[in-house]
Amino acid sequence: MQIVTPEFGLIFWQLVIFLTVLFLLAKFAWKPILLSLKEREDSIESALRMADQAKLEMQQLKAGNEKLLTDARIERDKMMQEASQMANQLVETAKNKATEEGSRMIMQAREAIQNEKNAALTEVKNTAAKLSIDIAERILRRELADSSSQQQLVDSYLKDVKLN
Amino acid sequence: MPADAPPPPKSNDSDRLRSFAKYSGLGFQMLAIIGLCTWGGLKLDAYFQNKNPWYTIGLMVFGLLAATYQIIRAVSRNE
Amino acid sequence: MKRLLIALFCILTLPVFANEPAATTAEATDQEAFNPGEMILHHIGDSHEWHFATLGNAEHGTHVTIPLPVIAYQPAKGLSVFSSSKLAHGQAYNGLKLEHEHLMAEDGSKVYDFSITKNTASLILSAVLLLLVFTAVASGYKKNHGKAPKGVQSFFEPIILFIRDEVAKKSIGPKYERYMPYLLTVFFFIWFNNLLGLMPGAANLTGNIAVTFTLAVLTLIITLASSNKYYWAHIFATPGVPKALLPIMIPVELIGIVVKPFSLMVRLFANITAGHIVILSFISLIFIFKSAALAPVSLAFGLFINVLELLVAILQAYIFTLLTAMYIGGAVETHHDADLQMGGGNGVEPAHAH
Repeated sequence: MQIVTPEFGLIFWQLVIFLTVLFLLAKFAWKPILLSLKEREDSIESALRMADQAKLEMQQLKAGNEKLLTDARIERDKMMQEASQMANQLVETAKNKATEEGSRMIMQAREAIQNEKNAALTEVKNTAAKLSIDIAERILRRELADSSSQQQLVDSYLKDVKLN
Repeated sequence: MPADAPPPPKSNDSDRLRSFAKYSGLGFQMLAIIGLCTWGGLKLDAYFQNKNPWYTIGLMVFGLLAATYQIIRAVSRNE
Repeated sequence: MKRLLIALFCILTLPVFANEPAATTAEATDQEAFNPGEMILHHIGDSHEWHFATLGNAEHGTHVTIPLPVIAYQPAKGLSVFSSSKLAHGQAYNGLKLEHEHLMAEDGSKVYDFSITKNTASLILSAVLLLLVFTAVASGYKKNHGKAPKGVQSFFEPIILFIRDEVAKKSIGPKYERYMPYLLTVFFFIWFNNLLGLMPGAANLTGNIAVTFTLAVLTLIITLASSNKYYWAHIFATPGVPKALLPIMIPVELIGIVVKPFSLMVRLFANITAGHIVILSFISLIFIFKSAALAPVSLAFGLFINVLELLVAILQAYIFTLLTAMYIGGAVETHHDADLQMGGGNGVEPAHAH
């Protein structure tokens, strides 16, 4: 029965020593240990959270880059379109100008031809007049000789003229 | 010597260990209730110098009921 | 692993009471020759001297013993302090004598025995050990601040985390932090002393009812001190119990309060003492049968039980801590239908069901 009867002395010592150990350990061991465990967990947690945030930021950055890229692509497309339009326009104007120039040159040519033609006609007229005068002169000189030969001469001259 | 100690079981294992410890505690509790009641009854009978151990019997029955009640209440409340 | 633990539990919790009477009845049989009952009781009991070994004959051989201080308080004579060697072999000193390790006055007056007994010495030793180990662990945290744990620190860290996360947080809930120092101290105190008790020649401190009694009373005080109104409401007006039954239910509930720590006390005491008795019994077999041929078998069994006891050492520490946490959890729970038995319970009272 002795072993199931608690002894007063041991209860006393157990109480005193256990409470002292409890107090000392709580103050010098458990408090710093639990605190630094918690601190470490907090820091790990915050590191994880920061990593998550960084990932999110990265994603945002990536999305921004993509947007920038699409913007650039659109811009490029637009520029190319504009350039081709401009080139087309240029070609068009050049073509128009060429046509215009051509038609103008044709007109000029036509005008020149007309002028030449007029000049030629005038010369022909002049020559005809001179010939007429020549003939008339010759007739006048030979009038005194013979009127019939005169007539003959006129005729031959006229023939010459016609032949010319 | 502490190095020989098993590593503390984790999560699922610990839950099993936990409920096992809990239910094994109930057995001790039952024993303790009946034992305490019987011991008290014996003391009372000795104090009043009864001819028949009525206190012992009564308290023992009471202890049995109390233990049963505690067990039923603890067990019927599942985790 | 799990099955082994459960098997262990069954082996080491149930046959406790069966072992004890067997050992004590052996005491009554042969008185002259080797008396295993007396030897075992001597080993598991307390003593005023620290006896390590006897070399040679029990009567004339050399006893390897450290005498310990006797501190006695007698209301009539006051305090007296002297070495326990003066009380050896039944001698009387200063009107005091030892009778079966119990300090008595020769004139039969009252004596309060505050002696530094074997258990007290072992207690002081373990206290110093605990302080040394855990201040070392704490300084490890200071040194490796924010870094991975090292050395002794990395051995204890998972255990401390286990107590915090699996025991305290799960059983007590959000208010667990206040109780961490007590739970950790109780756990390591019991574990260390269980292990120390397994060493040859060491004291059986956690198998001493006075020690487990004190721990259980502390648990009871902490539980009561942290109890809230729901806890008391549950005891004096258990939900779902008819008013007429309350006069019966209140004593039952009150008994429950006391019995929970009481069962803690008995369990730890019985398990550790039983373990020691089993080991000692196996060793005694050699001397009972006076046969060296039996020695290997009984030593093997003794060793096996000793290894099991290593497991039981941490298991009992865990159970004591877990149940303490559960009782505290029941007392601080804010649920109205808080159950005192299971900290995290949230089921419905059976009486509500009808």
